Amino acid sequence: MKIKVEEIMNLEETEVIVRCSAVDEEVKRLVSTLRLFEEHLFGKLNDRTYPLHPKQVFYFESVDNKVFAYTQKETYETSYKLYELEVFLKNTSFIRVNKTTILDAGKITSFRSAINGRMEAILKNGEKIIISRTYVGAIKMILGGR
Amino acid sequence: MKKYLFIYAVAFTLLMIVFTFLSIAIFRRTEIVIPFTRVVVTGFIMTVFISLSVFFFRLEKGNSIVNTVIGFIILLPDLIIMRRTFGDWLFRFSSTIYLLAVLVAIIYSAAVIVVSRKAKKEEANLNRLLKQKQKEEDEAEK
Repeated sequence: MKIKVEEIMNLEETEVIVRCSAVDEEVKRLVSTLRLFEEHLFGKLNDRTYPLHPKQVFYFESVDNKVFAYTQKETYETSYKLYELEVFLKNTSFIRVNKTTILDAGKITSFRSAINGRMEAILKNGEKIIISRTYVGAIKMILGGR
Repeated sequence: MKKYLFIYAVAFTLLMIVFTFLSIAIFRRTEIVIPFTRVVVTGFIMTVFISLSVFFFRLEKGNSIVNTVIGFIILLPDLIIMRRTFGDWLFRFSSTIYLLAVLVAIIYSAAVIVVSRKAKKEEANLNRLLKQKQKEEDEAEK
């Protein structure tokens, strides 16, 4: 994929044009990721609501019917359901990794397996997230494997 | 529960096949018929422990080494149950139960090694893909 940045002095709004031979899965993912820059979620921290950019979020986790967004340092409570986030973040780098977690694949630094075949993803902030066997294939797909 | 029942069904089927051959072998060697009900009930009880063992081994929560050890310990009562059913014929020598325990340990260790190696391979594959993707992103940024 070629990436070209053009500086045009009189342009009012930044414009992104994707030129491709066919709209395949990769292009769809690219467009969804670009759209994500426009979108904002909202998260509650200490009784105050903050706009939350999806790119800040490392992962979303559902605990006791509440969904929390984990960023580098903070944990925000969100009003969304996990399945709503799954739909909202479809075709982006976010992926379901187990029953309760949606993880940003871009925040993974490495993978580690355990003696009983359990897979763990180590994130950029040092946290470890368990990857269910069911979702290993989907992660491979998002990383460009088959 | 659904997961546990699936493991139970598979384990019960396999165990009953083994028991059928074992009963036939005992009958051919000693002409003693082991009651069908006793074999089936033994199968039912033993499968509870086998599937619990598999369930603990595959558990994604908690410490993986502890889960693996618990999985093995849970298997051991099966030997005592088996002794109750096939005791007179299969366990004629007291050492047989120890030999069987060693056999169970060998089979369990082999299963652990196979699963662990497969996971290591998967881990290496995922790490390779991750590095490749990061490299591509770095090149695109340049």
